[in-house]
Amino acid sequence: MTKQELEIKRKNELEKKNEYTRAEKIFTPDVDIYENDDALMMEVEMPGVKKGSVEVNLDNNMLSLRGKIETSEYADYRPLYGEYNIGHYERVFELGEKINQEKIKANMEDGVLYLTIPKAEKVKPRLIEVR
Amino acid sequence: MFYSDIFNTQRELDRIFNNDFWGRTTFARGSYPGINMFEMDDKLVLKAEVPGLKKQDLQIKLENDVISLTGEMKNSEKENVRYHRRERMFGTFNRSMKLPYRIDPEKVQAFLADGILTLTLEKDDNSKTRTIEIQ
Repeated sequence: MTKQELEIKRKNELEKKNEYTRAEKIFTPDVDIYENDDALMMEVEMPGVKKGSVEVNLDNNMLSLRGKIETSEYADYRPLYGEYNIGHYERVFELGEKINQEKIKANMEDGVLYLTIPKAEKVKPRLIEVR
Repeated sequence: MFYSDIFNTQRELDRIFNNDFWGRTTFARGSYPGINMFEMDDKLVLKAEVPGLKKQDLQIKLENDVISLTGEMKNSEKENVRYHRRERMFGTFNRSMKLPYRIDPEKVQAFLADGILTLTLEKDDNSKTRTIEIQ
């Protein structure tokens, strides 16, 4: 099987009803979402976000994922040429059922956030993205 | 101040991305991965976003003033799963980029962390500015 060649993709800026007071850019991270019988799994791409700078929050059934990038090193850089923009990451999902926040497992590795969200007994989560 | 520094960098990037020469459409042009180029003192800094890429799956080569990144973004094997969303991209890449000047091959530093590749390069001494005498 021939392997697919990667193409560069435009980053999507987050569209929000409420504006932030700071003029920072926020992008919606690309995600893979899949499930097996026991859990719902998410892989969220947040390049530049360190382990401690990611926030996973569950409020009722709204799962919000936020990642802050470190920008201090850019202070001394003089940009010569650019192909992608930098910014923080944010995306909110509505989970179809109530889940205990303590049961969500989160792991950050190589700029990818891996989430494991265990399912409640005999219920399969329904997933809706909030626009 | 920390935050004003961020604004300045952001503004500088915006300026590069939005100017007429590159245009907005070049925002995500070129092949994977996208590269940002910066200068700091005498050094050239290249950055590329490669979330999920492992060190062993990336090869970096420098030939004169052309740097090339070859590798493969691998997806982990999963059994008995049903996908709801597939937005991440996996596959091979081969990217070359001409640098603004010759680089000292002995002084190339590569660092891969948190899904960002950072290359720090130094000008080749022989290619540093010199005055040319008119004969």
